[in-house]
Amino acid sequence: MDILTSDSRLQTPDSRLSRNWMVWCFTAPVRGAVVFVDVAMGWPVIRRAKASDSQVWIIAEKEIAENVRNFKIPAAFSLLTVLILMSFFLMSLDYQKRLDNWSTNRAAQSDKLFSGITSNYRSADNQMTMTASSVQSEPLIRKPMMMSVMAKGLDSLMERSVTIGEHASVPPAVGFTFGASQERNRNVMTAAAPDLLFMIKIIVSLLALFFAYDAIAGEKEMGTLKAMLSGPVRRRTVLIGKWIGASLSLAVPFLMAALIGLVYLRLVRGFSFEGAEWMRVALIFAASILYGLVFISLGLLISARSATRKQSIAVALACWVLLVLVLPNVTTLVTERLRPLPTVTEHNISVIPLARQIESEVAASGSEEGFEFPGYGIHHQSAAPKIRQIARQADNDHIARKLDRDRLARTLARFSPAGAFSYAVTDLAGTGLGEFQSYIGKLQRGRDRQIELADEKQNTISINIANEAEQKKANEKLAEFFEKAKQLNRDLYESLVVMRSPQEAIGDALPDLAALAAWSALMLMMAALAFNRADVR
Amino acid sequence: MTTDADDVRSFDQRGGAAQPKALSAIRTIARREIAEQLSSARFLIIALLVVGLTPLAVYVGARDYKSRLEDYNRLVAEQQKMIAGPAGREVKGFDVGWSEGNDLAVLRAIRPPEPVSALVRGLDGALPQYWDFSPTGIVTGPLASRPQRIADVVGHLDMAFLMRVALGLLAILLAFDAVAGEKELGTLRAVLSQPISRAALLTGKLAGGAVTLLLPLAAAFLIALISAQLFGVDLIAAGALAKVVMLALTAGAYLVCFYALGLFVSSLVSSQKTSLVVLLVVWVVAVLAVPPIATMVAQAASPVPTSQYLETRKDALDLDIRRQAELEMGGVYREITGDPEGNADTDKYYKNKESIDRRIVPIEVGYLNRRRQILNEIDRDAERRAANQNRFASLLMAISPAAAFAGAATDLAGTGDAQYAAWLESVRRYQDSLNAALFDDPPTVMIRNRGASFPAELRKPPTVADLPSFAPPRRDAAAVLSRSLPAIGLLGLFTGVFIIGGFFAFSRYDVR
Repeated sequence: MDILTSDSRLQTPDSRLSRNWMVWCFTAPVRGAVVFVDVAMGWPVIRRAKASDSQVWIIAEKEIAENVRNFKIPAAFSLLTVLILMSFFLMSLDYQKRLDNWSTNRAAQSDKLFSGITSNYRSADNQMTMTASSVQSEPLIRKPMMMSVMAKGLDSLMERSVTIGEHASVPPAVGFTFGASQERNRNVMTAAAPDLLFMIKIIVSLLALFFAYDAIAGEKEMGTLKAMLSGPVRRRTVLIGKWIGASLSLAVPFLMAALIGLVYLRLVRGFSFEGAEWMRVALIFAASILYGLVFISLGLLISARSATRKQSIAVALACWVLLVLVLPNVTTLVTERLRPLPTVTEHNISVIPLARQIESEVAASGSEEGFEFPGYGIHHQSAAPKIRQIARQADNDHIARKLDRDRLARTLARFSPAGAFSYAVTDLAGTGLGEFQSYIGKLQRGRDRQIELADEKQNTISINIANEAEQKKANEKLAEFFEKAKQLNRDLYESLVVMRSPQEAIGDALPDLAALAAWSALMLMMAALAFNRADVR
Repeated sequence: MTTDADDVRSFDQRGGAAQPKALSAIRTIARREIAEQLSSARFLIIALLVVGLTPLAVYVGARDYKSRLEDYNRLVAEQQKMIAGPAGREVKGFDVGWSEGNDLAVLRAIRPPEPVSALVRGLDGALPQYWDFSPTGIVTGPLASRPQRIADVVGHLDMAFLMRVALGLLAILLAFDAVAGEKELGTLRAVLSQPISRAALLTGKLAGGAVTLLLPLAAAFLIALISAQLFGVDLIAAGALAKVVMLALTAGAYLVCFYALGLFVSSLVSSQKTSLVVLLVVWVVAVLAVPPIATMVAQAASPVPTSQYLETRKDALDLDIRRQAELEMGGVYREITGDPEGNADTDKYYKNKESIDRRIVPIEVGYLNRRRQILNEIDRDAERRAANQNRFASLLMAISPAAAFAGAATDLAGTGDAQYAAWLESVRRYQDSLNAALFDDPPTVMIRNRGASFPAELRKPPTVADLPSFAPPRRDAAAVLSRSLPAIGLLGLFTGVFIIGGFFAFSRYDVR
């Protein structure tokens, strides 16, 4: 192996001292990585010492040296560093703000006035009191995820305030209602968050194409490809060499910039990741490199099929717009087309006729008298458990359909590398669909407990109170139930803080990572085919 | 050979006499440029991409618009039904949930979706479907459609997106080698040795590039109009044609701006490759990175309180004044009925109706009005802060022509910040007029006490027709144009700076 002694090839006659120094600086880690990969993966190759295999590395190294010399690698490194640092800076500020918001809510949860039931208070001199006829609680807010600095994902949906209590439109029914988005500014609400995921999705893919678009087309144009292929070099060797060269030219600056970003997060912004979180971070970076490889292979494919560099860059950019910006939008569109859903308002109103029907059935049986409920109509006490059941069923159906649609969206998203990458990274960061589903599941379980409690309360406390003693007893029971409801609320609140385990998150992300790998392999194979058929005359 | 500066000056000084000659030279250069660009692969690829994606983008936009329109029609029908029912005959001014007698739905201001949102979606889906007017103040309805999803990268796929991203890309792809390429090939030297001024050469290239770019633009807008018609959004009948034409013109200005930037960079640097790298980086930063980063910087620098903060604050203040009012009412009640516990029931109310109405109702009404005032102040403060944040963000975004274009396009389509501000203003004005006509002096008050609540009738409730009606903000072409003038002006400024920079850089270029 002559990799370590290949310095002479890196120097062009006109290179000045500063340029040499820069070349050395950027090739040193690359060369280290090349040797490492060579030793780790190519050990049998070295043992056999086949000529074509060392040719692969020569071509790869030439490619890297060329990318250093024409400032592609330094430019990529600076751009990535600046953007990643900026993204980490802004996202950590945002995270801090959201964390403060959550702490205020946490304080309010333990506050006497707001904890649990607010409407059951008695004024100081016992002159005017309000009674709570139902379970009402202070809205809960889920703790923002620390990893959301890397991928905000659905975090802003999960940190809306949520109230478990009576339906606004069908009062005896118990359900959960989401508050407005924590973000009040509509421009911010609709804008994409400039997180690491966003930066990588856009910049890494673009840089990958930029490293690969002229790898073959450029040599075609200059005529050097003809010369190279007339020698004892296989086309496959050239392609693999170029692929390795371009991949390393992208991966090494990216990893360096990402490491600088991590150091910044740790030292300046005080983020400390622990054991499992490091694994998440490492997997996010691995996914990012896999994503970059898809576009390197795509770039080589385009480069092999184009006659000139100008044609190659135009096709590459058009493909980029399609794959990164358009296709993910199209897959969500297709999902909405395949699984239409009523809006939340429509769904809420849909429960009303069902409730009215149950009320009228009870009224027809004539077993009990109803009473007027403002904004609802005549309500019968014994209809309440039934109404709670049907409302619960309707809510669950609606949620199941919604989650089903989300899952379909995810499956379809794998047809675009950017879509698969987004889902994989958000899952790894704990702000993705898997976490969202578990969050909704927790809320559903919390609601079920409250429904059980409401039914139990209704069976225990009679509304027909004859005397003072019974009234006193009923009041005591009522207070007991309020305490229980508060405790349920508190349990739910604590359960919202717990994140899913990294194993589960990785399990969710695996199919998407596999899809990315498949994309990468497919592109590389197509590039190999295209290059084999390329006419070099 | 004259120096470069002399060259430019002599072109300027020659004036009228030399103009025909210069003009014909410009025309020749422009024609050659157009011929060359139109036959190039990059033009065909990107133009086909844009033209092909246009129907898809319009389909998405039209579908979203139609579903919002359906929601709107449903809400309006519901409201009409209620106005015809008991709630319309007697508006009591209660704040109660969904029912046949719902006052809120009767007084509701429902926002119709904007037809042009089929082309430029903007904020149209992120704004409330309606606003309710209640004794508590303005109650904001749910958003018109779902928030952002995981896979979406930069907003929605619409016409503004295609113009801003894809055609913007085409503009720099056409411009990056316009001067630098000729420098490398050596043809520039040959051209400049002819009796052609540098200014004329650059003007010709600029004109040629502009015409080349305007072709796919015009085609895309034509296709967009036709496909909107096909997908069931009649933009012409909706009187939106003027807005669409203005949109197309602004998009044209944006493309010329990027082309001028390309010429500027191409004149500055010596190799095409450098020019391409610089321009792509500028493009990525201006089009994709600046908007989210500026939004987030503004968010950090000029914060808006979160929903949960506002709600907690409102709850605390409400509870505070409610408690005061209740203590007062309880005292009066005990005094009137002689009940030591202060318990209310219907019998006791009707027995002492006159004195209760005379003494307790003013306390309750005072509480309601004070609560409305306080809650309204909190909301207005949050809105003001959000507006400040947006101003700050748009100030930061002023460094990017793409952001300026995005602002101008959404404002022209009536789906931008300016339109939202206009809606908020109309809504607030309506609440004020309703306060004067209904809530300040309510016809009915619900007095709540332990275990009982009973309505106190104070005066005859008005019908809906007696109350002022809601006046939505203007959305005609003149109004949207006046709202989007600042953004358009900024775009013009950018174009001017790039053109002047291009001329300056080119005039200083050393051809040897």
